[in-house]
Amino acid sequence: MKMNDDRNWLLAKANEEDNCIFSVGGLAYRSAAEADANQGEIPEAARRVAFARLVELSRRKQRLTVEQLAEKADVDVSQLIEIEEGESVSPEPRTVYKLAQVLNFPQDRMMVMSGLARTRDRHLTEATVRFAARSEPVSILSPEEEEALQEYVKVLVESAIGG
Amino acid sequence: MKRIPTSLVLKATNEPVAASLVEGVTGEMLEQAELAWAALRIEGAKRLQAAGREAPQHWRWDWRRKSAKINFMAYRCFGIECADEMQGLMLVNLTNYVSRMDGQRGKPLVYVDYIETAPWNVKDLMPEPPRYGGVGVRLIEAAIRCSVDEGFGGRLGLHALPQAESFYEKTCEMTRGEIDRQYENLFWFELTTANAKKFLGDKP
Amino acid sequence: MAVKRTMTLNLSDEEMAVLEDLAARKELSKTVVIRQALRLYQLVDAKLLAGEKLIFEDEAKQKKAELMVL
Repeated sequence: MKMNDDRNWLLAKANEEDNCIFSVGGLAYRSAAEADANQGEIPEAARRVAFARLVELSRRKQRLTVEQLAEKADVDVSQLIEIEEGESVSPEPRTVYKLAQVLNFPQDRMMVMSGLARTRDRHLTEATVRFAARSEPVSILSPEEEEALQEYVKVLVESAIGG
Repeated sequence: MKRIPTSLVLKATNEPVAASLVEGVTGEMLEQAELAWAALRIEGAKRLQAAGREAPQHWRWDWRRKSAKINFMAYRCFGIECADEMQGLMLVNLTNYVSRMDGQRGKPLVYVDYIETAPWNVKDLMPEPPRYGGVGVRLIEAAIRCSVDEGFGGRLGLHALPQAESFYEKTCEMTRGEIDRQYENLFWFELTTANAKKFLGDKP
Repeated sequence: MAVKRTMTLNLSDEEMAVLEDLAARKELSKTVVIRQALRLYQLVDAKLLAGEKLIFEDEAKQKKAELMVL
C-alpha cells in the first residue's frame, strides 16, 4: 500500500476534515448497555491470570515442558509462552483450539478463558477470579495448587455441560 | 504488523509531518492507545457537558474490547502513529457487509467497524488546541486502498454516528443510504468506486 | 500479507461453476472469492465454538431460520 504523498492534497483534505469528530462504531449508550449486560463478565486482568495458570498448571500436571506442550499441540512456542506469562491480549483461535484439545478442556470454555468469547455465567466468572487469586509461581505443583486446579477444572467442565 | 510511511498535518505550523500508517495493529498497541485516550475522552466529555454542549457520542468506547477481533482474517486493524503515539485507530471488516446501492447490490466492500482519533486531535474537546490534522482522512484513505487491494474497487460502507455524518457525506463524498434499524437507527453510508478514486486523488 | 503460498484446488465442474458465478457477480477474482469464504468460515467457526448460532432472519416475513449450529 502506498499513501498519497502530495502535500497539497493532505493540506486541503485536512482542512476540510477540520479536526471534527468522525467516529464510527455505535453510540455510547450501546456500549454502556453492553457493559451492563456484561455484568457477569470476567474482569480482564483476572481472566488473563486464570488462563495463564490454567494452561501452565495443566501442562505441568502432564509433566510437559513448554516446548513439549507446544510440539504436542502443534502451536507456536512464543504464543504459548505469552499465554503462560499472562501477556496474551489476543491469542489466535487455532492456538486456543489446539490447546483445548491437548489439555482436554471444553472448547467453548477455552474460548471464553482466552478472551475470544464472552460469558454471562456468574458462577464461572466468580470461580475464575478466585482461581486467579490463588495461583502462585512455583515450579512443582503444590498440594494447594493441585486442589485449586481441580476445583477450577470442575467448574469449567460443569459450566460447559450446563450450557 | 507493517508500518507504511505517510504524513499528518501538525496544526501548530500547518505543515505536513512524517507519520506511519500501521497495518495489523497488535493487541498490545490497542491497549496502550486505550490507556492513553480513555481518561482524556471522559474528561473531554465532562467538560463539554458542563458547558451545556453535546459530548462526543463515543465517549464510553474501549479499544481493548476489539482485541479479540483482530486475530480473525475477516478483520483488519489500522492505526496512524506520529511522535511515537497512536493518533488514530480503525477496525475494518472485509467479509460481513456488502453494497446496498442500486446497481451494486451484493458486491463486497470494506466496512468500517470502528474509527476514532485521539482526544487531543479533536476540536474543542481539550483545553489545548488540536495537535494533528488529517487523521480521519488518512485512515479513510487506508480503508479505500485496502478495498482496492482486495479487489473491491475502493468501495466502503459504514454506519456514521450523527456527529460524524457531515464528514462522511461532504469530505469523503459518501452516499447517504437508509436509516438502519438493525444498527441503532444510524444512517448507512457508502462510497462508490468512482468517488473512491476521486478521494484518493492519485495521478494516473 | 508477506509471503504467499500456492495451492492447487481440485474442483468438480459444478463447484467450478459456482465459483465462477460468484466471481462474476461480485466482480472478484476466483482467488478472492475463496479468500472471502475462508475469512467468513473462520469467523463463523469461532462463534459456533463459543456457543452462538448463525441465524438468517426475514423481517418482512417475520421468520428466523437457523443456518448453522454446532
